[in-house]
Amino acid sequence: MSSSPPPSSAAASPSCPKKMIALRSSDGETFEIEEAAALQSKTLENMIDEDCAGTPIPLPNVTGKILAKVVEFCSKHAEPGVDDESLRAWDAEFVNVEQATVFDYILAANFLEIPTLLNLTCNVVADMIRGKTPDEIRKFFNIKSIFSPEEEEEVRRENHWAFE
Amino acid sequence: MKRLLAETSRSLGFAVAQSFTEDILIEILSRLPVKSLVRFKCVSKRWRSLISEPHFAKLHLQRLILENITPSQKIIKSNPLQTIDYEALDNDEVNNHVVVESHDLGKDEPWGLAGSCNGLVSLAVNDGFLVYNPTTKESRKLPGSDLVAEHEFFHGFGYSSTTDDYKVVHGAFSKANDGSKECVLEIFSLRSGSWRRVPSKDVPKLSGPGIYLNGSVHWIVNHGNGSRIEQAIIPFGLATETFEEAIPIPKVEGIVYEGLGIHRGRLFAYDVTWRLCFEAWIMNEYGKGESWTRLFSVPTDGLPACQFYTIPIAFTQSKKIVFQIDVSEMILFNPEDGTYKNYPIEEDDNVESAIYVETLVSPHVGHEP
Repeated sequence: MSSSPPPSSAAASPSCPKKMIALRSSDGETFEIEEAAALQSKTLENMIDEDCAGTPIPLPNVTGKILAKVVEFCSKHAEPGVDDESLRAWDAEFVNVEQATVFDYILAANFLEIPTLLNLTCNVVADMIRGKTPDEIRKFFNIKSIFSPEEEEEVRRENHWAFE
Repeated sequence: MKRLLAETSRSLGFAVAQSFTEDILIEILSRLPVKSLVRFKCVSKRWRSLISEPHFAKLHLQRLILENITPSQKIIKSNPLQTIDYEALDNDEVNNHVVVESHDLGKDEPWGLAGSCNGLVSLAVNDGFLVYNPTTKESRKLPGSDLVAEHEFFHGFGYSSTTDDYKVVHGAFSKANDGSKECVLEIFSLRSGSWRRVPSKDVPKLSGPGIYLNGSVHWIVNHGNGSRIEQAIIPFGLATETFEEAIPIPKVEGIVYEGLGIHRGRLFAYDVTWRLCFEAWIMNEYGKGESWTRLFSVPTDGLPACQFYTIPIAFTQSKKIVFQIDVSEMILFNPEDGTYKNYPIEEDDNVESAIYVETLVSPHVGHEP
C-alpha cells in the first residue's frame, strides 16, 4: 500500500494537482480524468493511491459509452464554484436519458462507488417504480415470482390496503 | 427499424435491471414510500423477505430522517382513531377518502395518545397501552401493569439508541399519608417485553403526554402561578431513565406556554390563547437556550373561537398551519390571508392528536410474534 496518508473524504486534496488519470473501458477506449474528479469514486481513490505511474486503470465492468458520461459527471461535480441550484439542474439533465442508460449509470456508480451518482440514479428509478403494480415490477426487473397463486393471494389479503 | 431498436433497448434495460445486486436493490427500495414497499412484498419471496427484515426498516427510517422527507408525515387523532393526510387538504381537489382514514382497533379503541416516535405511536387503551404503526397497521398490545393511574398521570414513548429499544414511560401521582405527592414511575421496554418500576424521587409535576425528541421525552412544568409563573421543559432520558436538566424556555412578555410540539426535528412551545396574538417559539439547537426564535404569531380573532386551547400540530410545505381547536375541530390555517378550511374528521369531543412519519418499523421489535 502507498505510504502517503489517505486523502480525507471531505475535500480530497490531490497528491499531484491537475494530474490526469487514465481509465480504460471494457471495450478498449481510454479516457483521461483530472485526479480531483476521479476522487469522487472511492474505487478509483484506492487505485490511485497504489499507482502514481500513469498506466491506464482498466475498468472491465464499464463500457466506453458509459465511462465517457461518468467522467463527465465526476468532472462537473469536482468543479469549484458551482452553486447548488445549477448543479441540481445539471444533474436533472444528466439523468434525462433512456431507462436502460440510467440502469447502466447505476451499475457503474455502484462498481466505482460514486455516492453522488448512485444517489441521483437510484432516486430516478425509485420514482419510476413507486406507483407500479407487483406484476409491472416483475416485468421491469424480469423477475420470476415463485409464489403459488394461493401464497400470493394471502400476501395480497394481509396488505390489501396497500392496493387500494 | 426504429421500433425494433426501441424494443431492443427496452429489453436491454430489463436485462441490465436483472443484474442489479441486492445492494443496489436495497438502495432503490429504501427510497420508496411504505405503501409501495408493502405492495411490492407480493413481487417475489426474495422481495418479501427483504422488505420484511427489521434491518431494512431501519435503513428506510434512517434515509427518511436524513433527507427530512416531510411528505411522508401524517397526523393521528383519537376519539375515534383516524389518520389524516394533512397535506392533501392543501390541494384544490379535495377527496375526503384521501384526507382522513379510519382505523379500527375493536375493543382496543384508545382513549388517548401516549407518544409518537419513528412511525410508531403509543396508544392509551382501557387496560394499558398498545403500540401501533398506523402505516403498516401492525399493533402490539402491551401486558397490563399493576400501576393504576387514579387522576394525575403522565405518559410518553420514544427510542433509546444505546439499547436500540423503544420504551413506554408511565407515571402516576398519588397522595402519600403525610399529604405530600408521591409518584410511581414504570417503564416498558419493547425488547424486554415487560414493565419495570424505576426510582422516582422528586418527580416534577408533569401531566399528560410527553413529546419525544433526541432520545428523551419532554414535558412543560410550571412553578408558581398567575403573573409569577416560571416555566421550563423537563426531559426524561430514555437511556438513563432519569429526569435530566431542565431546558429553559424564553420568557416572553405576556406568554404562558400551553404545550410542546415538533417541527422539522426541533421542539417548539406554544402559547395559551387568551391574548390577541397566538404565538409559538421554536428551539433551533437542542438544549441551547439562546437558539429559541419565534415560529409564528397569529391574531387570535382570525381563528375559530375556542374555549380551552388551540394546538399547532403540523405545518404544510406551503407554510400553512394545522391547528386543533379544543378537543373537537381541526383546521388548515393560511397565515398569509387568515383563511382556513376544516378537516373532515369525526370527533366525540375528546380528540388528542400527534404527528407521525410513515415507516416500516414494527412494534414487535425484539419480540417477533
